[in-house]
Amino acid sequence: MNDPSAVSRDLQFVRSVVDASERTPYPRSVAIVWGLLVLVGFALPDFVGTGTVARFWMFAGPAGLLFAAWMSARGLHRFGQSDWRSGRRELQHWALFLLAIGAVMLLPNRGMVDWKAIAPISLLLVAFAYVVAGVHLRGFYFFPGLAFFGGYCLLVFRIPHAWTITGVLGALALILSALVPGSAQASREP
Amino acid sequence: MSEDATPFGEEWSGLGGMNKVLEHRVRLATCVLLTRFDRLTFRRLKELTSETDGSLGAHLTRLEKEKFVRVQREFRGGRPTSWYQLTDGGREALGHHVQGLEQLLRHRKEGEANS
Repeated sequence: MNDPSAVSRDLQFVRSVVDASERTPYPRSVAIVWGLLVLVGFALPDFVGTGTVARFWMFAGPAGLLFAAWMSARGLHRFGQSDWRSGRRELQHWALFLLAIGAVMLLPNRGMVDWKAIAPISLLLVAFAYVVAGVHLRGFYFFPGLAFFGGYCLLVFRIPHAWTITGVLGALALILSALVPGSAQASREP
Repeated sequence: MSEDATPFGEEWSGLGGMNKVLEHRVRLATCVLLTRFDRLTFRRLKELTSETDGSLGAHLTRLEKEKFVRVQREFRGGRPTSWYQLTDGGREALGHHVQGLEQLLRHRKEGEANS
């Protein structure tokens, strides 16, 4: 490195190595489990009452989050890359999202909006959380976020079976994002 | 000149923080990666730097000898895995080295602008 111009080349090498390290895999098993949860949980409102849907998500949401955190940590360990900082950031993002959903439930509880409005508001929050995660955390989340936003539009325009269609679109987006090689760094199961 | 002294001569004032050990791009990249991640395995470092086993092993031994990184060995599925982690000393040396590099590039830019 005696030649100062060699410094630029070396720094370029360092940068390329760091860029490559950011391309970490998203565990397929997590995407598939969440795809199934979304498929079932989003289709439910078309077939059963609000109480059953709420009970399903009260259990499935936190359980899915914990499963994803565990599988991601395990996957990265097998991959040879321990990254608690990113894991913590991702966990914070989704925990805050669950908190936001809980806070939204206060609105009808306090008589400020009708219970009917809660479903589309929650779906919009889901879409927002996924798209933001896609922009700031992992590209993997972006397209499922768009699928959920599409579902929100179907609900607002009162398209029949909007929830079932949203579930199918969301599940497909989640699973395809994990399976298609090179799609948002999600193709390699650790 | 000592092993860790800067090779750029006295005219490069302020470059004293640059470290000979970190002048090699693979050792520099390894330390930068270890500031980003808590720990990395030998296999992952090899994949990222595209070095051979022997070459990367020599670089890591050098960093270990200088106490810039520490290694933890564990057995996974009956096979040994080496995890590398940056030490406080390594982090400090890298910080000084990067400051020196910034200064070097600034000097170079100024030199180009003046010529």
